[in-house]
Amino acid sequence: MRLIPFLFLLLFFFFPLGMAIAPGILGSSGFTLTYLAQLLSSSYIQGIILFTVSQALASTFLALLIGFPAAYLLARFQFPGKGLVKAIATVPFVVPSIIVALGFILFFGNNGVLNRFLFSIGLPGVFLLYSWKGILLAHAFYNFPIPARIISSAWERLDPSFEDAGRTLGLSGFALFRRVTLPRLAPAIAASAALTFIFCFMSLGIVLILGGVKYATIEVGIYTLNSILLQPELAGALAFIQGVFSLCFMFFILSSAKALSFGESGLQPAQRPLSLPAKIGVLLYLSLMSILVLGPILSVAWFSFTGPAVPLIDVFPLLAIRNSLLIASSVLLITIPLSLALSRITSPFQGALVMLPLGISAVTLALGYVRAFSGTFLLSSLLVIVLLHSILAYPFMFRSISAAREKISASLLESARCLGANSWSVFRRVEFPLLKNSILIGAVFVFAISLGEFSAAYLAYSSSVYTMPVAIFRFLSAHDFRSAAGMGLVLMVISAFAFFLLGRMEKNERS
Amino acid sequence: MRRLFFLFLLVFSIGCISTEPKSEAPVLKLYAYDSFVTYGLSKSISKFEVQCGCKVDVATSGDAGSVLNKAILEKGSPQADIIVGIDNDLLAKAQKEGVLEPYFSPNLDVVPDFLLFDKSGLVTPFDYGYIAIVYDSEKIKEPPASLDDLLSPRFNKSLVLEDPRTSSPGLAFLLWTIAEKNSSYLAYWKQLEPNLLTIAPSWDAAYGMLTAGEAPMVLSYATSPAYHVEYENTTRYKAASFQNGNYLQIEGMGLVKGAKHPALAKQFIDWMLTSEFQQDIPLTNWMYPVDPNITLPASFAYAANVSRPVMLDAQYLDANLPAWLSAWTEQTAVWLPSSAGQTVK
Repeated sequence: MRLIPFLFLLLFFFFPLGMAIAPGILGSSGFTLTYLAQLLSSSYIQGIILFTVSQALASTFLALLIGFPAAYLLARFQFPGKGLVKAIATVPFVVPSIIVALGFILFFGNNGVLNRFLFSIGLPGVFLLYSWKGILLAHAFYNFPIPARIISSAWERLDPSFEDAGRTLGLSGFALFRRVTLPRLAPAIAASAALTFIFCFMSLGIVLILGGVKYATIEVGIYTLNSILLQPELAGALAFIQGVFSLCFMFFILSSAKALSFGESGLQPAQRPLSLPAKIGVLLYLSLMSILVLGPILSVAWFSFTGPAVPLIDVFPLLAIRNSLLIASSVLLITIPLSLALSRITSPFQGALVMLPLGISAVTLALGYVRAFSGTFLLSSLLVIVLLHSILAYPFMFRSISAAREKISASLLESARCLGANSWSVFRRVEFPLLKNSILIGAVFVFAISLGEFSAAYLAYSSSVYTMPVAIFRFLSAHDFRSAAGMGLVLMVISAFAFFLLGRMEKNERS
Repeated sequence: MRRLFFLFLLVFSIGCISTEPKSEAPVLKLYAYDSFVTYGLSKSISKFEVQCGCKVDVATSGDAGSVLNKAILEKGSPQADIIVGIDNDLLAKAQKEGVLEPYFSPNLDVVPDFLLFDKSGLVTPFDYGYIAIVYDSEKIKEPPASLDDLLSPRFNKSLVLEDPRTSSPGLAFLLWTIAEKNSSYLAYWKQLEPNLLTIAPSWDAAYGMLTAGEAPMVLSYATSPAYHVEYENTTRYKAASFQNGNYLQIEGMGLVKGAKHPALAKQFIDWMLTSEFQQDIPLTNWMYPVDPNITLPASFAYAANVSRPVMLDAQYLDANLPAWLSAWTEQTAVWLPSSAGQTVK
């Protein structure tokens, strides 16, 4: 029984991955360094590796900087519209980068809404796009929900007695935060940093569209080798290099997270109503977020409504919506038990290995599927999309659950066993209730990844299928940017609604 | 509430597995690039389905390069019967990889000589088009007339190109500069730099900047203006025809080696050269049909009037592409820590 999740990963992740990178590291006479050496000696490849790592570090830092105050507000205060704020902040995660980019261009562009407004009141414009500033802006927009949600969920579960003890010992304000609260949040901060880092590390489209041609990542290199130069050996070797980097970084972050982790009781602090300074903080934060998040989203919405009538083309929005929801729901059904089973893993090395799907490009994995399973029924069944999405998304669920599981104090489980509970009922009656919130947070990200994922499923599935991102791309390839924006809007509204429902469930659990 | 949610999940997943299309008729499988099916070409394909008594399943996977790459990966057990979209830039690759079977259709006599780009018969041409600079005529009064004119200071920061590492029109533009400037193409790109607003990773990202009013000029197709006339009834967007000609793209389809339905596939290739399919190409694929006898729709009068096709020899291209691309990358796109703080042109 315990082997099932590992067999699942072996068959549907490590095997196809091996098939994808094999041509890059295996020559006619076994293991070869030829292709790796060829890549690593190129100054272009050195440049993109260096850039990929440094931009990921900078973006992670920035996302944490923006996400942390958000986490504080969400965890400690009750305010009207909180659920909606959470839902909207997660929306950019779902939308294909081309639509996000369109929103950015419409809003922050040299001739965008913001600049036209600034010009009209006689101020100089801000030119953020097509430079490194565009990348930072985009990564902040994309990734701050990760730390905001993961840290706030941990913060909500911090045992209040430690802070009380700190206060009794004379600590207050920032000193209390720095010496008592912050260390206890460290595992959640590390977990969200790991996810953010790897997400920026794998970034492809958004960086290129908003940053410009100089800012190519390793992903771009793999894409070029696969689809422009058609050199699978070099593509495999570069994917291997990417995987090694991902593995090392995740191992490093997870081992530091483990060193920092504490056990927590299941007690929860009461959420306070807003004090005046906090109210100002919330207002400031919300207005900043509305500019950053709502600006581009509303620009897309406005753009989609101002266009001429949609020409009749072969895109069926309702079918796309149905298929997307079907797939995302099935992906949830697979990832929840899979991640629960895997979350017992405590070794950082195994943890990093289990998180590896995040650090492997979707394109590499999809091409691995084609090699590994070509000729089987799998590639002509919708199941392959569900499987690929599950593999690409479960690390979020896994991280969310295992971060929560580390916080369950062993004594709680021992007491349950002493009281005569078998392992199933310990799980069902003690662990599961404590993990439920993390499952819901993981579910938000899993759902988001599945709804927005495009390239992997598209490449591996050898039949025509419609999902919402596919519909968007079909509109785009037909010059029909307004319908694409409209479909993007539908995708955002549906996912915001799904996130809102998940948020409601989270709230019900708490009350 | 929660039970309902899980019930909903369960029903959905069962639905997911059971919605596979089931059919008794033989299924002809096409691998195609995205936009092949976008505009309603499937309607004209259904005419073929009636004739052959079969089903045609078109699976798309990104651009033509990705499609060919997928077919190469499946060489051992091919899934597709026909690969659609192999153009002159990909031809040599397709010939070398041995994924196709030669087939000379009896209907090939409608195709003019300059479009018969594969003498080995592996790829049968079905349409063609040209790459062109498309501009917003409300902002650009004096459009560029040649690659050299594109360097004029009046276009400072006005042009959006596509990245040849990630986009096929982007690659075509690089090849265009190589075809015209030969070994001095890198110098040309250096001179072009001040006029570039940015280089986008894909055609849609670049064209979006034109549509959103961000950039007045973008690299696209000579027929792009026809779309805006046909569906938006506006002549605002125009395509520039260059004095020395525009880069030609011929698209073809090929019979897959080891295909499950070779006879049907040949029948399909024959059919797509008939006027029944050819007449649908202009408004469904925004390219020119290879059959010159087809009457073009009125909106095509707004496409750029190309003076002469620019092309590169397929073998020469294949032998040099990796070197060209890396030389271009070294000059244009290498990121070094010292340049991190500078704004990219």
